[in-house]
Amino acid sequence: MMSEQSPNPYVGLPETAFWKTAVAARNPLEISALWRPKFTVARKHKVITAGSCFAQHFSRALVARGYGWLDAEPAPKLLSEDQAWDFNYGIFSFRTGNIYTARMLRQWLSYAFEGEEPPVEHWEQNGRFYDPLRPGIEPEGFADLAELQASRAALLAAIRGAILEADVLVFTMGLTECWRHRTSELEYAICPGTLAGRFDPDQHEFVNQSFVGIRRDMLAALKILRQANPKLKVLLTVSPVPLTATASEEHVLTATSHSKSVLRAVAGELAAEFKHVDYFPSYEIITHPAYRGMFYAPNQRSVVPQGVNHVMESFFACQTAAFPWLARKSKRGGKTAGEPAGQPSNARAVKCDEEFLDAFG
Amino acid sequence: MPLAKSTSGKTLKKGKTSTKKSTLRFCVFGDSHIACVKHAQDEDLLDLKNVALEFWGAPGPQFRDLHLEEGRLAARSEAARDSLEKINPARVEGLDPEDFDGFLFIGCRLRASEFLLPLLGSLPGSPGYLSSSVRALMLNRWLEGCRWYRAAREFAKLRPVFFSPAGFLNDGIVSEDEVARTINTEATEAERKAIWDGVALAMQQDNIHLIRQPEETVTRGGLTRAEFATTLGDQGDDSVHKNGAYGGLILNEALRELRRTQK
Repeated sequence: MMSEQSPNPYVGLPETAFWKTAVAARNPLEISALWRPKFTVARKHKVITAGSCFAQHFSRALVARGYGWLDAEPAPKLLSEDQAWDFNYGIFSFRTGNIYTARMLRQWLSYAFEGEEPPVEHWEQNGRFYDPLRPGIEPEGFADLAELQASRAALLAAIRGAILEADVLVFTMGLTECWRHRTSELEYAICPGTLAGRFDPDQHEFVNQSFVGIRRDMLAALKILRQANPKLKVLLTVSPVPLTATASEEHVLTATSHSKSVLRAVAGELAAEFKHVDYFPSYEIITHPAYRGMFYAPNQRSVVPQGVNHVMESFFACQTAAFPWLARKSKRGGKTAGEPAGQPSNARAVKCDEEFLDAFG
Repeated sequence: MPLAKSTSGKTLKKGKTSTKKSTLRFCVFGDSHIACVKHAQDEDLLDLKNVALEFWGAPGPQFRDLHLEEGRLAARSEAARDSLEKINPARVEGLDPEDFDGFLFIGCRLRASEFLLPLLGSLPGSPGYLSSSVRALMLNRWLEGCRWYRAAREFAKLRPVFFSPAGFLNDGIVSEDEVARTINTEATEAERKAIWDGVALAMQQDNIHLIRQPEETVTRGGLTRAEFATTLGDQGDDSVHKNGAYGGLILNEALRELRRTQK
């Protein structure tokens, strides 16, 4: 017979603290309580999303559940859904395109809030003009430089408006690898010469950002955000999508592992350091061996819809577990959601009849 | 803008309604917006010298029952036929492009506000700036998304067609909240003209002549002046329909253009 366990710090910890009970003994889909949120994300809150492509899933899930996702650069109503998508409307809260790195986030915020001049550099191709900060934002680029700059000015206004108005920013950290201008240190959204522009080894250099550099850029970004909107909460995630390619001279698998580990570490450190910053473990839910790769498509890169759903279900489950009143409010909200707003839909038709009868009756 | 010469003389079929050789047979087609032209006619505001004017259309829901079938517009419901019986009992069965020397499509669910206002609110320097590519897509969707615009295009293959989109909403009826939210009240005549020019060019490619909203009827960037709003009813809350003065400006412009091109 074993003697009774002597007192130690592990005695009395919840079962989530032990691998055997929290992970090994469970069906992966029943692993729960992965996250203890620091703050609520309620329907009344205005949430903005930015970052790597995985952040798009957040906005869609929020919209689907009637949450207040803020679209600061909405598509014109006359565009079809597909056209809006092609022109990067409704994907993030503003039309930056993917913000893969901490430096890119810092750059955008500096342009939007600190009066830093955006680059004059632009890429021309086949008579069209491309923004090196978001070369894919318009499928065929812009008609001329003035249009590129006007569009960018509108974007910066949208960034300002969104951040000033929002309650929560969800930022998904994507990459450590990037390309910069050797002298100006301008960071490009994507390597020059890929989507547009021309690669020039004398001007363009590869940078694999370090933990220290990323942390410094994130701290600077958080500072700008805090100064702009002291009530803004920041929820960090790390994209579980592996690198498409690496320029690090490492194998793309180990390069991915390195990149994601660094990002994960920075996110964790920032969440530990700041009360208004939290980390949601969507990265772990998709990538961890406990889930046996079930959320990846056969290419082992794309995340399948079931994975996204599971991530978002976990997000909302953890929110309601930490803040039970959210579930009650959500039910109450549901009752009113279907109620019509404004004038009845047949009001205009009735008026048309009146007008017509008057003229021809 | 050049307009195709009328081909009426060459294509007039035997057995059709006979008119004097010098009389233009002209038809106003549309939804409830045709009422403003009828008001203008009743108020003797139209220059109808040598013009035989007819109306064809239906209001509100019945308008949706008018379809292009084998090159002619026809009613698919009793309700629509009832409307036609009221406004043009001789042509309940359908509207054939060859029955007239020219057409004015008015309203027809093509609303100026839906295209011009977003563009006027997104000029360079404004927060919602839209690129020329996006604007071009919007224009295409605005026109192509309108079934009756597509019908106008078919008619324009045979006869001169003028198209007057429904004018801006009426000032004083639209709430100031909505005005603040949706209208660039600082938009200038030149800015409207630039957008209308683009519309005219797109329509011209379909051989359709745009009749743009007359500038004297516009106020506050993108609203219709109250004196051109319909006075029907006591509620004073019809933000859409226009009066005879407006209808007169539109039809007279169409006829003027038709005569000019037929000289």
